[in-house]
This record gives sequence, C-alpha cells and structure tokens, in this order.
Amino acid sequence: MRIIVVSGILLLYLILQPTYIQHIRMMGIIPNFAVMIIVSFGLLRGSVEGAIIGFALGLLQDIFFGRAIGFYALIGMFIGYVCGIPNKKYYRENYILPFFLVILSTLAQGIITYIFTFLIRGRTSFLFFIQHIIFPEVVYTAALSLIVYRLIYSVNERVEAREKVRRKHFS
Amino acid sequence: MLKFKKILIPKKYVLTIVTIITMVTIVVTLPNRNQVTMIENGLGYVVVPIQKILTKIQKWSNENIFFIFHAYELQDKNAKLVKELDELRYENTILQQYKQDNERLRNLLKLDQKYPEYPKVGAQVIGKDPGNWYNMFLIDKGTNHGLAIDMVVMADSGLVGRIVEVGFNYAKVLSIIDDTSSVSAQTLRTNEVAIIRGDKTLMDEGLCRIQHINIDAQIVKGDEMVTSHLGDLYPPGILIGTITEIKTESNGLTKYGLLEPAVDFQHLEEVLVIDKPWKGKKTNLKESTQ
Repeated sequence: MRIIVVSGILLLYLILQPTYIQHIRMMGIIPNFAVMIIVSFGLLRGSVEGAIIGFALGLLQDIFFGRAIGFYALIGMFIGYVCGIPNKKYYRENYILPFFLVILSTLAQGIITYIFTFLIRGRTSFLFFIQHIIFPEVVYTAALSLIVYRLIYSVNERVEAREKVRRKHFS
Repeated sequence: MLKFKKILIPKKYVLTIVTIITMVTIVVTLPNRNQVTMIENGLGYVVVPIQKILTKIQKWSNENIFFIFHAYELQDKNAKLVKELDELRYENTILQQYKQDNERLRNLLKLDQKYPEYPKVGAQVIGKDPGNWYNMFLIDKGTNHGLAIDMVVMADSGLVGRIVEVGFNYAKVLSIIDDTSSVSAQTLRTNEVAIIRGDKTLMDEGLCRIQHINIDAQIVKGDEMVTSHLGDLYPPGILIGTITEIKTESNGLTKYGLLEPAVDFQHLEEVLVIDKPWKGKKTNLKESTQ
C-alpha cells in the first residue's frame, strides 16, 4: 500500500514537473518540488525512508534529465537522511521545521550543483548564480513548501491509518 | 520497505556503501551516456505516453480556451502578417529566379549542391528540464523512429541543438543555449568563423556568447550566423541567430559578441530532427580524402 502511494507520488512528480509545472516559472525559475517531497517524507517517516525516497526521486531525475546517473540521487539520499533525523523529536503539526529544512536543503542542493557542474568547468561568477538561480529558487520553493508538506502530511496520515491494524507486526 | 529495518543494523554502513556505489556510477556515466539501459527504457514506456497525452491536453486548452486572452491582439497581428506575407511573396519570386540561375550555373560548373536538403522528421516536445540549471528537453521519438545520438535538432526557423541520449520512444535534446553547448559557426555575409557557446549568465536575456572572432573579422551587429563547414556535429548552413553586440576582448587579440538565437526556446513545441547523423558522414569524407 505504502509503496504504491509513494511511487504514485514520485511518478506524478516525474510527469508534472517537466510539463505543467513549467508554466509557473517566474523569471525563468521553477520551484524545486523534488526537495519539498524528500524533506516532507524524511520528516514524516524517518531517516531510512527519507533516504530511500530521496535516492529514488533523485535517480528518476538523473535518468530523465541528468548528465551522470547518480548525482541527484546522492544529494537526494543525503537530504532525506538528514531530514529524517529529527523525525522522532518533533510534532508533525509543527510547520516551522519543514519550512527551514526545505530552505536549507534547496540551498545545499543549489550550491552543490553549482560547484560540481559549473565551477568545475570554470564558471567562477558564484555571485551571479546565487543571485539569479539559487536564491530565487530557494524563495520560490520555500513559499510553496508548506502546501506540499501539508498535502503529503494528509496522504501519509491516511496511509498510516490503514496500516495501523498491521502496525504491531513491524514496529 | 519496512522489512529492511530488521536486517539494517549498521545504518551508516549502508549509507556509505550506497554513496560509494553512486559515486562510481557518476564517474562511469559522466563522460558520455550512449547506452541507455533497460530500466530507463522501461520507465520511458510508462512516462512518455502520459506526458504525450498531457502535452496534447495542454495544446488543446491553449488553442481552444486560452486564445480568448489573446483575441484582442489578433487583428493587429493579422494585418501585420498579411503585409509581411506580401513582402515575402515578392521576395520569394525573386529568390526562386536566383535559385534557378544558381542551379543552372552550378550544373554548368559541375559543382555539388552546397547546402543539400536534409531529411527531417517532426517530433513533439514533451518535457522540459525540471531544474534551473540546464536547458534540455525531451522529445517523443526515439530509436523506434530511427533517431540516434548526435542527430541535429531544428525548429522551423533555426538550430535548436542536438540529441545527447536516446531511448526507444524518447530522446533527450541539449539546446544550443545550454551552458555546456558550443557550436562552430560562420557569418552568412562574410564567412567569418567563430564559436557560439551557451552561457548561463546570459540566459535571462536568452542570448548566447560568440567567441574567438578574429580581430580583423568583418562582423557587425545584425549579421546572421549559420553553422559552419568546420563543425563535426552540425551540418553547414543552418541558421543559428543574429548578432546583437560585438566587442573587443581585453587582450586585444580577438573579439567576442552576443547572439540572439533564431529559435524561441521559451515556447518550443514542435521540432524537426535531421535523421542522418552528420558526424558519420564527415568522418567518411575525411577518410576518403586521406
């Protein structure tokens, strides 16, 4: 059940991000829904699932739009893993933590992407990239993060309610 | 997923092992990813048809619902287009005559066709890069339709880019405004050779950078640039764009400039693929001359 729901969400992302979501580009910047999904699942489900979902989502990105297989998968895995650490220690209804984690994760992903795909080829204008790509992306992503978190939260709640009957078997 | 938890005693070891494996795959796949794996092709069969349908719905809604918002522009546009059509028709008749002349003279001199007609296949853009860093997009044709790596992609007015990866039913196109792309080009008017590179810092204005122009080159603003005969990947004579600015480099040895591509990359919907890889042809030619 959970696997079907999660892969459904990942597939939805893979289908919508290159097509319909392209229309909400502002100043050429598109919000990073992948990070929102990974952070939400990491927070709600813990490090292991966060890392697995981050890896899977990153891998899909790599396959369809990446240069090297594994680049976004690796970043996604670590984002999911790190965001899963506070899983046990916070209230799920608390919206401040997901908000800030999304900001930090988007920032981290942006800077890592810059370093490994642009700086390495000698594009040294870091300030330009911060101003024109990373910072707008962080702002736009953060603005939408709580909506996505809230959606995944309610989906997760429903899945967990279904699993409750079987929960004692594996927790 | 939860079954893993029982076996998973050293969580951090698993993380390190996966990290190392991923890094190896990155290094292996980074230089060129010519081979598309079965997994990717399988995913392509799931995702591409859905994206195709979505693109169709989008196109339909644009044509049938959202055109209302542009209705007030239509009359002006129409008048303009009719005028332009007249001018172009007139120009075209003259050009036809030139063409006939040209053919006749070429026959007399026994020259080959300089810019042969390239065989083309139409394809639909079904997805754009989900991030902010690259300018790649997916088209809905792949090896099943005879496409291969390094085939050149055009839109009606000019060069778009080339195919960098191809699956059974999709292909990934790298556009010329991408930061990693570079094209060997020449001016149409004076045949000056230069290199056109995508530049992320110019992306907001939708321009490319022109590099390595000879300091004595006869190049001015407004010149049109086409792909040159020196390139390995691109067949010669395809329009790339017009020059918007020319400046001298600080070292005083070369000039550089900015170029506005002929293709509108923001609203790319349909493209044409030249379904003959030029690269192979070129190497054959080299071999035969040697």
